[in-house]
Formats: sequence, structure tokens, C-alpha cells
Amino acid sequence: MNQYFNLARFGRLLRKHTLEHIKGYAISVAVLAGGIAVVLGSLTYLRHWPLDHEMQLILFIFGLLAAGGVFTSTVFAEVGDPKRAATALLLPTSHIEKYLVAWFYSLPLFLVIYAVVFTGVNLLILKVGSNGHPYELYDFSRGASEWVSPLLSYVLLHSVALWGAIYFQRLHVIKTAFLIFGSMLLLLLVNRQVMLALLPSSRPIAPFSDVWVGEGMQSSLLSLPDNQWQLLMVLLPIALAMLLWAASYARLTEKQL
Amino acid sequence: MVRIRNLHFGYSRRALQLENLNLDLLRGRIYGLLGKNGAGKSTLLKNIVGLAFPQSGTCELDGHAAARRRPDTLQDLFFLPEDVQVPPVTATQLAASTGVFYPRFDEGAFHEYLRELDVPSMKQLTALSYGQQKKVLIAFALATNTSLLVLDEPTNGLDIPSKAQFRKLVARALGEERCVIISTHQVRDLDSLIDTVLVLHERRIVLNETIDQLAEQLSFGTAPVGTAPPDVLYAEVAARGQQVIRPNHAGAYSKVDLELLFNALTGPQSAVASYLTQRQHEPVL
Repeated sequence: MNQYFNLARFGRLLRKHTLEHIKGYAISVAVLAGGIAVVLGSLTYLRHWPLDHEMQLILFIFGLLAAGGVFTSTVFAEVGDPKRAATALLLPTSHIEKYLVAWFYSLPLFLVIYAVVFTGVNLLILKVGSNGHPYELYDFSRGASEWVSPLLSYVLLHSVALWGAIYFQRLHVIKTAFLIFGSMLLLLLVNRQVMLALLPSSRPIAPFSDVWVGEGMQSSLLSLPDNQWQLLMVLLPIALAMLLWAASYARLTEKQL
Repeated sequence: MVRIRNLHFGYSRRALQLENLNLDLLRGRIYGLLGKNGAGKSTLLKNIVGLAFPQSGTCELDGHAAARRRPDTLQDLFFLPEDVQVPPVTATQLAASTGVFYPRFDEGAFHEYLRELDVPSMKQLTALSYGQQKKVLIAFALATNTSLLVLDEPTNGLDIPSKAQFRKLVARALGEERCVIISTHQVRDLDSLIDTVLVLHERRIVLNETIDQLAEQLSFGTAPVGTAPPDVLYAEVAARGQQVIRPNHAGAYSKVDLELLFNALTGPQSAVASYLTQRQHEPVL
């Protein structure tokens, strides 16, 4: 039998994981639906008007990042809990199979369930809260350009949260959030210092964005061509995510009690 | 089955818990791993099953490094940790969802063990008492029929009748192809169960002998308080006189008192350990 991946063994592991967590996941989905309903319902009530599709997309993205980040941070909780870790690590499956179950639940499956729950609750709120006004349900088939960037953001966040889930023993969510904000702050500071060293007359800017150089009428904008910029914004999160996924897997193989 | 060579382990490089350990564990034996609290029994077991990685040296299970945690290796070993937490399923569901990972898992035997241990199989495991949860996992461990079965303090949390039942079940589940390692600091729990004694003391294995070898070499008996019988290797004052360990020159059989032996080996300047080591190096005529 293959020591790295076996489809039958992976299927058994998936079934075992589902059986042991189905109750907790069902409650989580109910809480998620309730949370979305409260947010969408409150905003609809305050505006006295159904949410437009831009607002629906923004709320979809924020909810996805928040709920997905929290959920992913907990997918390796068993491995971090000394009472459950021995059983989890010594289950006769490979490390890659254990890893893929957590990955599958927290990325593709979570995305599908979140999208279905959000759309369902959104539709309900639009119908109930429209008060006869016309409304438009956000349609994901409108154009990939609108949601590809948020999706990539989620992929990147997922990789960080997954790494935090396996790296930290407890308080995964808090420690991972601290790590994300700390890294962002560090990136801003380092970016500023590098920009000052390379282009002393540049103005403070966010990392990976266009740069204004010079002063007054002499100033000019340095930016990547559009196609390169778009490529960078796709490749960068994917490359970083793959690196962090690999790091999480390596950490799982090295996990000791 | 288990082959350990020059193993050094510590949670930090400065404080070693296991030092230059060499050990071979064979099939068809029930090993009792004894040691004081904090002696490193659980650490040794974790190294054996691949939950802790040696700083140097090797720990192999049937020729494969335990630390690699290969599925083939894992499906032939079961480790029951001291502190357990059960999943939110029934015993029957546990057998269906987890038993499938062990090729020789015997579901019929599992239910039979549960019945003997008086644990309901259709009740959620999380709703059972801690002792009952432990019994379910003991039953599961025995039913996996893995070649290597490692039990860390299995009798902790069990009531007195369950301890006796546990000894019976383990003795029954042992076969020629099976190696069982049981760690405990309550040596009386392993009485009449183990056939080989391992004592871990001050980072080393200070004893690795079968009960028969010990009974052949040592004599366990009593002596009146205040007397100093000749040839005594170790004496300990008890409620009714002194309990003593002597060399077994006459070859007469006496039951090995594990608790007394353990105290003798872990006390300061153990004459018993020196005597056994000396005997091992004597030429066989």
C-alpha cells in the first residue's frame, strides 16, 4: 500500500472526520447563518432599502475572510490538544492524507458552504426586508473579475490560518490574527525603509502599489503596466499561499508530543 | 519488533530525559515498564511509537524509523496514552469509523471486551464516565490485534474490579505475534500479568529481565525486624517484619515482589542492580 497517498484510505479518513465533527459543523453553520442574517438584516433595516449588489459583495468578502479565518485556525485543534494529539497523529494514515482532510474542509468545502449559506440568507433578507422596493441578488456569474481578487485574498488568508493552526498549540485564532497584523505592520515599515533607500523623494505608499516620485510639477507616477500588475496580484498570493501550505505540511510531519 | 540504539532524548538539549538507551523488545512478551513519576516512562513510550523524535540514536519498529509514522507501521501499532479524550460517537460507531484503519481489527472481540468490562456500546462515549471511556479505549486497543500494543498507565482511572478484568483481558489477548508494553508507577497493577520487567531510572534502563530470570536469580522473603540476615541485597521494613531480597543460591522458587524489587533498584546504591549485572557477566558453565 502506498505510504504517501491512498484514495481508499483518504476516503475512510474523510468519513471518520465527518462522522466525528458533523454535529459541531452543523451548529457552526447555524451560527454562521444567524450572524449573516443579523448583519444583513440590521443594515437593511437602517438603510430602509434593500442592499445593492456592491454592498452584498463587500459583506460577502468580509464574512468570508472572518469566518474562514476563524474556522481554518481551528482545523488542527486535535493535533494541538495533548489529550487528542496522540490518537490523531497515530491514526494509520499518511501525513499528507491528514493534511488534505483539513485542507479540503477549510478551503473548497468551506467556500461552497459559505457561498450557499450567504446566498440563501441574503435572498431571504432581500425578500423580507425589501418592503416592495426593487432588489437585486448578487450574481456570482456576473464576472470573475469582481470576485477573483477576494477569492485570492481568502486563499492567502487560509494558508496563514492553516499554518497558525498547526504551529500554535492553543489560542490559534488570537495568535494567528496577531501574527497577520504583526506581519502587515512589519511589511509596511520595511517597505517604507526600502523605498526611502531606493527613491529618497518618494511619498509614503502601501506595499506593491504605484509610487509618486518627485515634488509638485516635477512629480511623476511609477507603476507597472496593467497586465504585469494583474499578473503580480494573482501570482503573489498564490505563491505565498503555496509556500505556507508547504510549511504547514512540513510542520505536521514534525509534530511531536 | 522494537529496536532502540544509543537513544538520547530531551525536551531541551541541556536536560536529557533518556540517555544512551539500548533496548530490544520482542514479540510474544508483555513488558512492564516501571519507573518513578517523572522518570521518563511516557517519554520512552512516545519515542517508541513515533510521537517524540530522538535527539540522536535510533528507534525502529520492524526496521522502520518510528518517527516517520508510516501508515504501514501505524496500522500495526496501537498506543493508548495516559490521558484520553474520546470522540463524540458511540462505541459501535468508533468501531466502524476507526476500526477500518486496522487490518486485523476484530469487531466481535471489541463488543465482547465491552460486555466484559460492562460498558454500553450504544451510548455516546462523551456521556460516559472517565473510567468507562478508558475501558472503551482499552477494549478497542485489544481488538485492533496490532503486533505492538503500548499502554501508558492504562489502569489509572479504573476501579478495582476493572483492574482485575483488565489484567485478564490483556493476558488473553497476548499471542506469539504480539508485543505488549505497559507502563505504570503502580507496580501491583501489573502483578501476575507481565513476563518481562523494564525499570527506567535516572535516564537509563536499569533492569530488563524476565520474571523467570528474576525468580531464578533472586529470592524474595521476610526476616524479623532488627536482625541482619546474611547475604541480604536489600531489606525494607514492613508491617510484619522486614521484606528482603537475597541471592537465590538454593534455586528455590519465590514469587517476585515487583514493588520490593522496584524500591531496591531505584534506591541509593542498589546492591540488587550490581548483583544482577555481575550475574549477567558470569560465564555459563
